[in-house]
Amino acid sequence: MKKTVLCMILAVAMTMVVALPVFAGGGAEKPVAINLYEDGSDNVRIVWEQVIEAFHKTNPGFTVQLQYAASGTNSQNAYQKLIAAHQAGQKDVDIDLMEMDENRMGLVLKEGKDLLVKLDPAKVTNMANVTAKSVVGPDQSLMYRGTAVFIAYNADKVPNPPKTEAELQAWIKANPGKFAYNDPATGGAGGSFVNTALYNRMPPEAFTSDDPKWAKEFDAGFKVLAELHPFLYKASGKVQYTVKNQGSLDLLAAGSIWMCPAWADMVLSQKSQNLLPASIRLQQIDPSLTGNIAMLAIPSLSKYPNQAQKFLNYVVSVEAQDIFVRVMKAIPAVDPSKLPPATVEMLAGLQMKTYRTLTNGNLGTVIQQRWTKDIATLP
Amino acid sequence: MTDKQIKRQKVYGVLMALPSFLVICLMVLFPIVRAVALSFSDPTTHAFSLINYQELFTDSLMVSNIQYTIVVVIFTVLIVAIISYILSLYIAFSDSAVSRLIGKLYLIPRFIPSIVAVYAIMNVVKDTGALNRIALEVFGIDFKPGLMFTKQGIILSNCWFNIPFSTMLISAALQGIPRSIIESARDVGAGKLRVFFSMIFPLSVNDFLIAITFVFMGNVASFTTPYLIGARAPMMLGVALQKEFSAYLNMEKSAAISVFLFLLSSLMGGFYIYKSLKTNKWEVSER
Repeated sequence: MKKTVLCMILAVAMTMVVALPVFAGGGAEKPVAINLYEDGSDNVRIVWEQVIEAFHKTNPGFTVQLQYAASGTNSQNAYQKLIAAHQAGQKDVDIDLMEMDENRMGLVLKEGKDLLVKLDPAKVTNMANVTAKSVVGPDQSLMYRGTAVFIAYNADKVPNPPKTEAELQAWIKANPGKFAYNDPATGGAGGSFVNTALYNRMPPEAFTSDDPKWAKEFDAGFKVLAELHPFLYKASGKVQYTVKNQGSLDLLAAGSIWMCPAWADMVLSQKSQNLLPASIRLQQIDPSLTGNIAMLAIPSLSKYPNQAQKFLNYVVSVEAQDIFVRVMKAIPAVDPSKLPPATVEMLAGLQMKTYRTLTNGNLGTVIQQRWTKDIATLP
Repeated sequence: MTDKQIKRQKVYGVLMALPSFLVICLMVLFPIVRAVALSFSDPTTHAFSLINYQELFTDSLMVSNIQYTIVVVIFTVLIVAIISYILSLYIAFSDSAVSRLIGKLYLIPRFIPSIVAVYAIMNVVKDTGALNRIALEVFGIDFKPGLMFTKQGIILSNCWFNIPFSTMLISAALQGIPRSIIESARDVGAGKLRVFFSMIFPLSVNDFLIAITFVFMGNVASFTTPYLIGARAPMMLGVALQKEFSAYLNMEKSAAISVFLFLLSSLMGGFYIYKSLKTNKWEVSER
């Protein structure tokens, strides 16, 4: 008898352990805390912690909690959570602000046009100073920083780096095996190199359009990439494209190649940590390699859209933008002339004048797929 | 025990198993059903369609990805099977100091996180890696292993991960063979080869096949190694799947690839279940 009672207790206990989390939740009223979902490299976490700390100093009333996921772990979480919540018919979500790019904007707005809050210029007053906008959802997202791709080169081997696109292509052909770019689907540095090759051969209005008609005009650019293919980095007897942005930088640091496209902030921060030799320098070509805009958006299901907009307003303020530039060498979302002179000095090497972004929505995926089919498969 | 007691025990048995059964339904079966359903829906219209499978088996890049995956997995399984069986025999039947040392050390790779191990392997075998630098410093030869971005590189790394695992399974089986029966066979004049083919091999073949099954299933959908070591085209299906899923955001096509990988694995899984249910003729049944 004892045994059967014990069995029963155990069975009930095990069922409870499984079932409990379903019933958990709720609890007492808490002070308002909004959740900011971020993902990316570790410098993203560092900069947001500083921005939030600065915000808390001058803005009592509510707190901002950073929900950070390192890139590659579950970086699609926030926007996928939102889409799943919408599909499940949930009334609210615990996401109040989330990191967005054009691809994600496209997916979320495809799921539902009103899934994101229309930002109110009266609440986000600093919005007027922001220099670039999303194409897919211009009034439902806010650019808070830009990222720029440069040509990183080994100054010991290349005393006079190329300054234009034509010079760069001539250099690649004259120095076979000494240039590499990463698979665009694995990182934006290679992506920018590919995009620039394509869009330099297309009208300027294509840069801010997600119209599928532009896909027909990619041919000229892909032809250029195919011509460069035999002159790129070779390993194990074949031309190879590196994996992730870091893949090319590792080759550059090891001396296997002398030049590659790279994110400016990655190169600058790795140089400051001595992960890259001092001989590695940055050079922008003309027309410049395209950068990306990093954006934030507020889900309509958020419980605290007003607080989220207040924080958003702070993020694009001169004070917060100054932190982004100083801590992660980001391209500011506002005109650099508004920033303190010492901060602008840090951007001097980045030739801000020529900075240009590409916001082509879902066409980015079309390009990556075609690159894998047409370029990666070349012998 | 009376019939009533037996019945009651059975009920409790079911009750005890129920929680884990529910978890499996919720976390494993339900997602599988959803993935299968998703794989049969058109990416744009969401209507029922075979387009994802059609692309999977007609698109030239995808077809070469499938061939590439199968070649890599078959060679991995073959090499791992041969090496780990020989290694297990050595560990189980040799009593030398070297064999005891290997017996203690061979599991170490199991405790190294795969991402760390892959980067370590890359740093040794890449064309500017440790092997190249040692050859250059010591012998003055610019030795380039030529393993990065190749099938051989992936297979090498797979062996590193899988040999310890399958050796563990096989040597456990070999150690379970009673020494007394081998000795009695030797006593009546059986030669070493005769003992191996008539006793040791038949007694361990089941565990050997099970080990192979696990190696196959673990490698057919592998990601980290081929992502970091493999070339960009063709790629192994695990990498192609990740690309469809997180770069192209094509959930329907990635579901189709998952289902295909699942079928490949379940073929081997079915074989494993069949093997483990079949009673070995050497085993003495209690009933």
